Amino acid sequence: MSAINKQNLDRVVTENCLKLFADYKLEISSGAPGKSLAAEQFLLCGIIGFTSRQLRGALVLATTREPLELTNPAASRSHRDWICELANQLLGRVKNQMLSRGVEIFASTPIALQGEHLSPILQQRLIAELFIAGGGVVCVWMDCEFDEGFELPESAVFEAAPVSEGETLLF
Amino acid sequence: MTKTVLIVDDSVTVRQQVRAALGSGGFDVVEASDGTEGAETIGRLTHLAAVLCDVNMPRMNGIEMLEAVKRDPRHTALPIVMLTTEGQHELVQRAKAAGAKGWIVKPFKPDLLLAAMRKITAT
Repeated sequence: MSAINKQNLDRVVTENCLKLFADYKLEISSGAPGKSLAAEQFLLCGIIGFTSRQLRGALVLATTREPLELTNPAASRSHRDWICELANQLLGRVKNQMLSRGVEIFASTPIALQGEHLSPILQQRLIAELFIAGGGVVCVWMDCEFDEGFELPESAVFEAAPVSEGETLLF
Repeated sequence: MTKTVLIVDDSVTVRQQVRAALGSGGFDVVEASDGTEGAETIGRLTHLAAVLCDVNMPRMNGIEMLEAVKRDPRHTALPIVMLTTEGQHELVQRAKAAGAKGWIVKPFKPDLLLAAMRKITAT
């Protein structure tokens, strides 16, 4: 069951990563299968831990310089701040998707790591390797443990969140 | 007269993005990096036209700041819009009950943010 749960969660993460970067007008597409992550010179990783009643783990978003600079229209010099915010926004999307599956996720404060040739030591299979059309690499993965017997629904079973990403609700 | 909007967010990049979006529409923007600093700024600046406020922040979160500010009768008419990654129904309802004027889920669209701020600050 854990493998199926992970598969369902990975799909949500991948879909929402694509949507997040699309919202920042940066088209990303899946990379070549089997391409070595260590060969890419990742600049920064944003990492956020999370927990819920049924599952717990951490989301990691790693990028080279190009996606960070191309997605930041305000041209901030703080790559640290921006990778943390992107990881936060990605987990926010995943949280909202999980709510419609009956899972309420609580996130920790994001942290950033900087270094060349950063490479994950994975507990589970790497879920996504995404490449930028304009050069550079974005990679996202999620380590997650599920409670024994828990089944993550493949699709939404509850009403979606009242406000979607990018939407404005005025009272 | 130029209207001033306070953005309360612990991300300097988000604050810059809001400043760019609202600045292009003629708003002045002032910044605070958490709920505590936001509440202090609201207490100090009497000419604010509106406040945009993140939810998850260190020291004091956005909902706590909203509730604290709205308890002060001087600020009951001040429009406060939440700008956050959160989308839980309960949080939206809590903010609405506390007196929030709106809820925007990040990433925001600059043109929609500007339109929303123009609408709620129109006199």
